[in-house]
Amino acid sequence: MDRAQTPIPAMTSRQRVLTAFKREPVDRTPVCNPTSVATVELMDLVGANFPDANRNPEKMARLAATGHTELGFDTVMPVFSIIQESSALGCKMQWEEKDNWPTVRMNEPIWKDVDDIRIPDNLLLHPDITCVLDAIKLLRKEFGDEVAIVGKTMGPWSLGYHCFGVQEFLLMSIDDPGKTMECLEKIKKVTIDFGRAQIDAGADALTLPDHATGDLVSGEYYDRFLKEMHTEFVDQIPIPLILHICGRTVDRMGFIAETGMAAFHFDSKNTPAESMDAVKNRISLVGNINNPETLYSKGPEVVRQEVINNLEAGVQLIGPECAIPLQTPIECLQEIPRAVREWHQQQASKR
Amino acid sequence: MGKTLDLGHRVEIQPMDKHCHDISLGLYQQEFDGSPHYLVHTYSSAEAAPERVAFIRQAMVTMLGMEANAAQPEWFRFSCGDRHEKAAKRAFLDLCKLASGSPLEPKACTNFDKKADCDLSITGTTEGIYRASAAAETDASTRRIGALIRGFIKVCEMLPVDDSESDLRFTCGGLHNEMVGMLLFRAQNVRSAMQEDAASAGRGSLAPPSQQ
Repeated sequence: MDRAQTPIPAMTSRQRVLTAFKREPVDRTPVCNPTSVATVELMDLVGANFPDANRNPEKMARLAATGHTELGFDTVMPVFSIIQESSALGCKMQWEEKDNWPTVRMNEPIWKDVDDIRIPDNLLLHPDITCVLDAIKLLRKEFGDEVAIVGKTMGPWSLGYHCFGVQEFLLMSIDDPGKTMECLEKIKKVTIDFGRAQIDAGADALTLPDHATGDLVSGEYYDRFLKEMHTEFVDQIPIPLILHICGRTVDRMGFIAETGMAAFHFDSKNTPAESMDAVKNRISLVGNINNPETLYSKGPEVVRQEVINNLEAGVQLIGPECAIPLQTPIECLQEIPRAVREWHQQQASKR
Repeated sequence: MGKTLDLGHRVEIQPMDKHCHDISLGLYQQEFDGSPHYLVHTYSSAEAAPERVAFIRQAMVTMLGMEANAAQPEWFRFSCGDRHEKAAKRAFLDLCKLASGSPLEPKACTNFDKKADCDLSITGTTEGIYRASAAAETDASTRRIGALIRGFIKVCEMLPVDDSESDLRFTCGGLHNEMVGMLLFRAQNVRSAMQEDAASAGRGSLAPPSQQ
């Protein structure tokens, strides 16, 4: 993607993001959050606190909108958490309070075997699903074609963790890979159906978190269990997909780049340069500003440096590496688009 | 047009104020005339929020011995003109635990210490030196004075004086009796303060399922 050399006419945020997914020239690098940028201060600003903002579509949309209106990102992303589908599937939930994330009680799994897997016929009518769909509709109405709306549909590996428990699911993958594949094949219907419903609601792109994370799952595992299924999602969910996997993932970025997904949302445990090298321009990269240290506590100067590191490596879309901590200072988030704009101005002045 | 404000550097946050509708309260820092000033702010539009912010601001001024900026009274600073950021952050979090309307009076620089089984005091001298002492001279109280000194170094970023095991001073060289009184309990129990900090830092971060 040629960003710094050729002047491109001004784009809307939405155009900029969708063009960057195709690795085509953009007027400036888009700032994108495939995951949450909600903070407790932004919740106060718009009167949309957790946990309500995960369950009430108006509040969900209002809080998501601040990603663009207050932070200056080119995207809005209303699906802050990773639990909407799991709640709809019947997992035991801990909704928490304003200052913490809702979680699935994975020590109380709902499935033990492949035969236990039941996807309710009316899954898409569950309130924690319709909340997301309605929020996307509200955001589309508010922003029209100006801003890219990013939804989220969880991958089957993540849903497997939620519904079987992490340890049980991983042990199954070692003891009985065939059964694990059967499970993934059954669960993938949730990913596809919820993804398609979000397209109908007005989403421009979807984050697809599938937590085959570097700490527990190897690159070889990714190739064996998930690569083909992720490739299938590209056909089944016809919209730019952003795969999200936390942790050190350079060992599987080559496989991920072969899936046909539009983008990979990568973690700060991978350097921008080595990641760009690994994907070889076959997929766009989104990231990878560090959350727990840089955005949370290091201040705008360090944020700026990480933004520049990504821009200089050629990363196509800049944003935090994952859902940001809820106490992140607003000034650090606002520094991301500011640093991107100023870097491009500097590049232009050199020409 | 955004509604967020340029308030400088946010140094601390109380994410959920149990005394005021779970609003968040931020402690911001900005320099005016070369001197770091602090501000308490909330983005909440809750009806009770302005009163709550005013109470916490007054608590910071009274309990830490700070002073309001003459031109912008919502901003306040330490009279020495120094930052003393770590102490301000710790005190802010502790003061957010007070209900609005609680009596505000600077704390004494003497407190009973369970492990020493006597009062411990910390007293400032005209030379800007603070000296810790115990009401009873025992092995336990001697150990606790050492612990208190180390506690103040961690909580208030104070400096030890030469090789003394009972003296220390602020980086600014001035006296801050109100701050010392306010944070005496924390310096006595520095481990619990650090545990509280660690717990609050982890809360609000989304971990992947594999790490939950």
